[in-house]
Amino acid sequence: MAVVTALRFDLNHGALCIDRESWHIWRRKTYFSDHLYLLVEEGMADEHGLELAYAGVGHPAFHLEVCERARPLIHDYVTKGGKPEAEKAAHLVMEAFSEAHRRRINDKLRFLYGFGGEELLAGQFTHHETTTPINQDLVKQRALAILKGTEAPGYAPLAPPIEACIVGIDRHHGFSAYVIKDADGVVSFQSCGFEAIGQGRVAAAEQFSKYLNRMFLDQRRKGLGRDEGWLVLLEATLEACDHFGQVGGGVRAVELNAEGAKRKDRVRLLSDHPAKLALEIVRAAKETLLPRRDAIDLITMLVDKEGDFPAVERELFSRASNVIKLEKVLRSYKVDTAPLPQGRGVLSWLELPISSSAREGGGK
Amino acid sequence: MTSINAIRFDAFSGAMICDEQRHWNPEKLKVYAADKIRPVIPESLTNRYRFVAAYGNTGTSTIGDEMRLTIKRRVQADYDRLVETTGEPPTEFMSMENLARMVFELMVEIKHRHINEELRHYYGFDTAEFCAGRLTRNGKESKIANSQVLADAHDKIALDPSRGTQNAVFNNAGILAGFHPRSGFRIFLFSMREHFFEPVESGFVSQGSGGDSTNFVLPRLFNTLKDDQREGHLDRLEGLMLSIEAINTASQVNLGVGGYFNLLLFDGRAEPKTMLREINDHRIKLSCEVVAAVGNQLLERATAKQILDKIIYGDGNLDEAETILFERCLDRERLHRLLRGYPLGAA
Repeated sequence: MAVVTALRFDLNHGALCIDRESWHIWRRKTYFSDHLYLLVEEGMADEHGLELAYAGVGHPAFHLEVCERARPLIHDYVTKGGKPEAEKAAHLVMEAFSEAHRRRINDKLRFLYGFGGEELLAGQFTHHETTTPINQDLVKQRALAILKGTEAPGYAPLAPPIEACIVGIDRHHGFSAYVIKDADGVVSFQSCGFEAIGQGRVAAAEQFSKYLNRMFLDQRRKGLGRDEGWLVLLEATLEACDHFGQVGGGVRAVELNAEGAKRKDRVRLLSDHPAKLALEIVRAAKETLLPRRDAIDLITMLVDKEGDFPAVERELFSRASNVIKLEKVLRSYKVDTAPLPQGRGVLSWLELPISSSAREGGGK
Repeated sequence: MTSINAIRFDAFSGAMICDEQRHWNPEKLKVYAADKIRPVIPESLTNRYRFVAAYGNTGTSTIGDEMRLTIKRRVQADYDRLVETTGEPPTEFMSMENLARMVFELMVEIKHRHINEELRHYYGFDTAEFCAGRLTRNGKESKIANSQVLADAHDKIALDPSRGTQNAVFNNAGILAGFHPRSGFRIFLFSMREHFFEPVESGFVSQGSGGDSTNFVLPRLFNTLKDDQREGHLDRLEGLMLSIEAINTASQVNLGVGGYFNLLLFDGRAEPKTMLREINDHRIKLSCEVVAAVGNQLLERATAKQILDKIIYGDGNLDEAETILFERCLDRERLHRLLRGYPLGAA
């Protein structure tokens, strides 16, 4: 989880996407770390139309703790009559974020020295019922470094800085998005309709800007629209996966729709094989092996679950302009350097229609 | 981050294999343009003395490139000096052991040059002056007395490996492998991190971030070999499959390993022009897929060896090889998705 991307599709729709790769114990990759959480329980969400999705980069356990703290905060706030708005909920998440941050710091200080952050600020602590001053310069120096976050409180050595993106919908304001960064300690509004955080943010942001830069202000205010929005969101994430270390392993994504009456209409999740296939569709379009319009159609089929995974997979290969090149691209071959192997039987399991152009053994 | 590996098949032959991924700058931009293992004996010397060798480096890309290029130039320069001295080409030239010593001396030279540049940049003195505790400038001698400067300078000069601090110069390791008629096929390991070089006695060696998993895979076979096999009678196809399996695993499990691999095959029995062959095109890519198929129980081992023998050791046609792979695999749908990066365990 080293990139999170978010995009506003229009006033009431948007989505969040996170990669699944994580690095452990200095050198090992895993492909299931994608800390994407829904923070409002279904019953409350149905009643109030409020949904919040959270995705973080950096230390996985930190994000789990933030979400476990945030859920009861949001629940209590709404139950007690608070206005069910995404912005307020995001600020409650910030509260949980700060608590998780301070908890780790206090635990580390107590482990090392027997006092926590508040006691450090007071310059004294209670030890065996005795008030003890904190006088030792070496102790104060190191404790302050821990308090300020210049010394990490137990995060994996290669974890990217801890940041999180929150997307939300509510009946009052439609779609909105926010960012929290551990280094800053504040919750910021999403600006310009997109967000990209983590190790792969530069590549993702560059991809977003390619579209947004070409739009008039009025168009940007309206948004890209849901269908094209999904393609652009996945393109940005794929760029990050392709070009930055620590990013990859597939993705998970969630779409929020403020117009949905029930959760299944308000929240659409893309994960597992369909998410992997969505990235393959994006890659096919990127390599100009699939028209953009077809890519949008196929991704929509996956997100709306209108077609099952094998059916959409077959469609991808059926619609490709060069199925041999496509399947080699998807197998990570270098396709432009030398003639590609063209074995028989490679795609026979797909049972592609005979009319499929340049099918196996066919044109180049 | 890297995987570089070497394996000995017998007294005349062996292999090296590496990936091509580089992380550029702290942003860790992925670039598949690294050239991690390179031949270091000029072709003319291979033709004359039947001597081939290659050096691979892991750590800082620029240090690795400096090593690889300089070794080859140094070998040529040493030869040219001998010819100039005696007036004719020597009857014998070098050995793997001599080459290994030369590589280590070069490592020492590079280490001192880089560290001295850094010391002069920050403090105006070099390692020798640090050791003396004084420097002389414009005829005037002055002591190096500041305790923090002394501590910092010593850190730069003699970084303690247990401290684990990232350092561009120290954070390097290398593997040299090759064949010389006097030495046979030999492998040597170098470490700037721990400041040594040594012959590899175990039949294989692996370095880089990928070493985390290659060092599980490679011993798996070696643990089962009888003594005479381990000491140098390993079937070349078994050795090849093992090397590819190791680096395949590293690219899956470890950070910083990826792209197309470069496979170097050494054969002291071959004609000079084929004593060292490099394979880094679609043949290695397809070979990796074949080995992955075996590892996921989608292809029989014997079929895999048949394919590899054709395309790596022979002039086999890639179309035919891929046809065999897919026609004989146990489940084409699963295989194709595996090769596209889908997790096979999921429904």
